[in-house]
Amino acid sequence: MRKSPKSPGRLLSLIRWELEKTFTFPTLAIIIAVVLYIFVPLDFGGSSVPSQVPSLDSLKNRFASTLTTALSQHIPASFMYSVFIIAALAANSVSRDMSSGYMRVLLSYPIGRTKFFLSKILVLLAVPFLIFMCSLLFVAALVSPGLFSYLDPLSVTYIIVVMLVQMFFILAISLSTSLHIKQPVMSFLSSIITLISIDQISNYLSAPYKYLLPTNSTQLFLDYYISPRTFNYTPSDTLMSLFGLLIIPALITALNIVYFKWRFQT
Amino acid sequence: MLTVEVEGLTKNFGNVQALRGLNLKLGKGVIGFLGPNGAGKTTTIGILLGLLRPTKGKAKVFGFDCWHQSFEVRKRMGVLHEKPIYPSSFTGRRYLEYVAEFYGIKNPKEQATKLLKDVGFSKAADRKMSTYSAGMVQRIGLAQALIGEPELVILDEPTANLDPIGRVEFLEKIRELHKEHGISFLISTHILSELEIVCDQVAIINKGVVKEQGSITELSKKYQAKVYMIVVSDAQLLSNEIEKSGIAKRVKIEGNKALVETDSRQRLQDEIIRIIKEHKIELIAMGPQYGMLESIYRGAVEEEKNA
Repeated sequence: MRKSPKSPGRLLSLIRWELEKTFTFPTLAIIIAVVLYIFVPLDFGGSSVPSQVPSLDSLKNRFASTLTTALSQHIPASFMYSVFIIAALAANSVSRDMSSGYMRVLLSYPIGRTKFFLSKILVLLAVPFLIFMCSLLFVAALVSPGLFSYLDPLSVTYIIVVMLVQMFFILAISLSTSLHIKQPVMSFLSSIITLISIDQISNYLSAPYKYLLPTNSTQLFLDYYISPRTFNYTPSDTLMSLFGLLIIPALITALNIVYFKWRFQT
Repeated sequence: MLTVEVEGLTKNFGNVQALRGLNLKLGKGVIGFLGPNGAGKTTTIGILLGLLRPTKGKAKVFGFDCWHQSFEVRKRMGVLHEKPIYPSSFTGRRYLEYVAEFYGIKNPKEQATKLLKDVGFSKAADRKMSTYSAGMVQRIGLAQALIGEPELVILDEPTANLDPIGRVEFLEKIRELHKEHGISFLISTHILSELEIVCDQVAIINKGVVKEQGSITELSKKYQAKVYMIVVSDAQLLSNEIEKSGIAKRVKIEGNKALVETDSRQRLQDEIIRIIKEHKIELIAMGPQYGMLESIYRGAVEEEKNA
């Protein structure tokens, strides 16, 4: 009879599998190109559509501060980046696997459904995040090497966690869409429309409800830590932000896992 | 011990009823799983693997419930799906190594190498799967189904993409694995002549219910061939003489072949011998129009049509 391995080994195998399957050369190259494209027009050129290549001086001015400031400046850019990249990866990893019948092959092996889904979450969260961070640091180091002379590890960690949580929100919605729409292109478009709509709705909501939605809640968290003197949010704003950025994605993820297990059993 | 035990299995997809109270009891051996398109074979396989939840009824493999204990079932089973999709960026060897890891094999590299050798696929093992032909993918499919010495292997249309020599080799491999390692196989296919070579049991389903199940020998007694093909030098003369004798229900001529439907094989044989002696016709070949398994299949499926 076949022997069942210890759980961690199988989760690691699944993570390696997902990494090797999804992040092949063209996919990685496209993601890096997209992230670099996002940085240049938004932050170095100073406008979303650069009319000309920015001068080196203007680039240095943009980054002539601490790493903490540089990172916090890039949070808005990371939202749009995450929406497009994570939605595309989720559609490719879940919808495409389901529609092609590949998921059926994989789920015929003795793999726990929770671990299987968890491996997808971890990979789809970690890889775009790492690419984003590495590209950001790479561009920053090229333009302004002095950026790293003053390093505040706590601030940097805080901002990274906020960025990760924002990406987690996007991933939760994207995975939920991908699980229900088998056609990958439709799934990708639906995720983008849903996420951009969520972002846009926040403009029409008043406080404290607008802090339920990711861009506003992220901004609140950043202001709390980076500019505490100008922090003028109410406790209910903060509570809404906590609920919106932490509880909602966690709930959606839990529901995704329950749905996946219900559909494909343990 | 029963390998597969299914009781009153029903599966609905919206308004479509794919299985309608299917009952199936299969022991060890090489078992053919037959039925026309849309009969419910793939749905049954999906339920046995724990990929589909039954609407009603129970399905057990090795005594484990296929839905609630599907992990236990999958640990003991290998499967080659119909038109399988494998990651094209992986090499065949790498893919097998991963599958071996999923099954908890201690030395996945060794296991992959052994299986590649077993299925005769060592040369192309280090090429990406995107470069494989359909037949090569099928061989990798068989190799991955055999990882971890399964007790039961389900093969859904296993020879569909293989050339004639490849098909024979594939079936010989199955027979060898069954004899040497005692692995049971449940083979779903439309190519009955091939199944006849390897199977000892058969289950025939149609419209979501089992029409027949049991050993081929027993079923062949029930569904004896009724149409015989006689190849002679003058088929028209033979046909006229048989019709005159009154032993045939129906006689049809196709080129130099006469297709004769009768209930009495012995009487037909005697009559043919008489005719060829009397009219000096050359007898080239004679036998049932269909093979043993095809006769059983036609008997079971067409019995319902006629009813």
